Amino acid sequence: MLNRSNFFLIIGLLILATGPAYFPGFTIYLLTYGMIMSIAALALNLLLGYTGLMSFGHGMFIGAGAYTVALMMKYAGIHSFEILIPLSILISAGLAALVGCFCTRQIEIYFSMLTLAFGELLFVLCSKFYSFTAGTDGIRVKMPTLFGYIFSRGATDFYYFVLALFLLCTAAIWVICHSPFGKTIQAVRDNEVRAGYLGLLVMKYRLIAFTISGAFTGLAGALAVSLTGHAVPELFQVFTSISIVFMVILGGHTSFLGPVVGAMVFVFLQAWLKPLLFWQFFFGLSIIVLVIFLPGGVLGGVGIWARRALTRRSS
Amino acid sequence: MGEKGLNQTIILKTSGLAKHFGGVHAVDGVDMQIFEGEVLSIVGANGAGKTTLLKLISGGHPIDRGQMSFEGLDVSRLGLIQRARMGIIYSFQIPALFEHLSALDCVRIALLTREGKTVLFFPTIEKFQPIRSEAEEILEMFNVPRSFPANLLPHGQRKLLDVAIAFALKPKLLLLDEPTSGVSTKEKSQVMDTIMPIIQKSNTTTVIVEHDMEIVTRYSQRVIVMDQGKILAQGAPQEILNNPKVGEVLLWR
Repeated sequence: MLNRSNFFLIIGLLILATGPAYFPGFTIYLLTYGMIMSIAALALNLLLGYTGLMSFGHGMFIGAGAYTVALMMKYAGIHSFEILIPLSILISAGLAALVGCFCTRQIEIYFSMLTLAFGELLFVLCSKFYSFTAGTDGIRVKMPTLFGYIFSRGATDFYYFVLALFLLCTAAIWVICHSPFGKTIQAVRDNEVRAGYLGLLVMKYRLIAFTISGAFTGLAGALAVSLTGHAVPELFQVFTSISIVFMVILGGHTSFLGPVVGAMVFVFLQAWLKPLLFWQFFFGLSIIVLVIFLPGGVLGGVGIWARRALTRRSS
Repeated sequence: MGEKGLNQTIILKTSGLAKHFGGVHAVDGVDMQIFEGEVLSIVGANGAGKTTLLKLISGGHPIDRGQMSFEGLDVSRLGLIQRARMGIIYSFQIPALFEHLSALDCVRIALLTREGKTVLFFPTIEKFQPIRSEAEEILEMFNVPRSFPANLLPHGQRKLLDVAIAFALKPKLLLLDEPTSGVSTKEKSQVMDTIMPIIQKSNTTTVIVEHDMEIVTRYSQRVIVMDQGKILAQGAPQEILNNPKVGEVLLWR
């Protein structure tokens, strides 16, 4: 049966599928970017919402994915998505596994601070290693090809390519969250002491979740740099990480699709406010208002309003 | 000693087991044996070292001094996870549940752990039908509704769910830390009348830490009395009840 949330899901999918027919080019660009950041936000929520770990360093995986594409293009002359995407996923997963070995030994604020520190470390390395990474100038990135097919930046074909990857990643993360592993990380999140008494090696589950999350975020980084065309060290930095955290909180970390809504709201809000003078002020203000009035995120808030409306109608 | 009629195979043996926290000797040189299939109760005043002893056995606290063997193997230096995998399972005094998961999921986690299926990313948990059926069966036995999140269950059912999670792991040695603490006098018998037939039917070796002597005498075959980290007396429940030294410590006379 078609319930209320499925109805909204179908409407959302219809808009995404038919968008290029009626949206202007800039909106399509924003929707493409929104879907890419949605992959990163869903990946972060696998860690925050499902494992109970708040990472302030996920920018490092965006950076890893982006620089994999940029450096492969620059030094190896590889321009095809079919090689660059698996490579970005692999390198980001490897980085996440390595960083995770140190970070997942800690929890709460200590975990968050360690991830933040690793992100900053990579930012500095990337900025200062000028001969290899071109430092703060960054690296220009051409739009890669897919099995010889040439995409044009910001056009419909790339939009649909990203849409396909976004749907694939969303489905994959959904299955992971509802798999035995997904339930186990939720158990670890809820009560790590009890999980240990069952015989579960808690750190192992955190590390795996961190690695998966890093891998998906790396994919988002590879797509983001293909869209924007410029890999810069700032991608590794805390602003990128905090932006992803914002997207998750804004959409609602307690619902699976909350991060997607959060990423879209974040991307569009930022784009609409940017022409204003002191746009960061208004952007911050909008975020504050949203968080205060919708403490469970946009999806959480909509859910509460819907329940209230239903109760009023029935009484 | 009250082992008559019991299987005399020793499943767990400790010698000189000790644990101190700062200057406090919580467990101080405990020599004990647990026989396969028995229900053993540990009683004692608050602070006698009962919970610490259970945690030393389960691996929740590392042992400071002494030896411990389980099924003939020295497990003194093994950690919590290895001992849990060997079948020594601890159930908490204050229910330690996966609060935002349903009761069904809480038990499913234990079953997945037992079956070594916790690192499967595909398919979704609902496709594991035998795990679901077994979890539902266990919850039915323990009288816990399956779909409620653990944090919404009343206290009595939270206690039962805690034991159900431990039981789902098919423990060789089940350690129940005050299974009736915090429940009303009326509910105490309900909780025990639910737990004990399941334990007896599965012939699970069980150690119960309990304050209520009525429960101890009704359900256990052997009793150990602890005082200030040491074993004061041990024997059949009736022997313990008639022991004046024990009565003095436990203040029933």
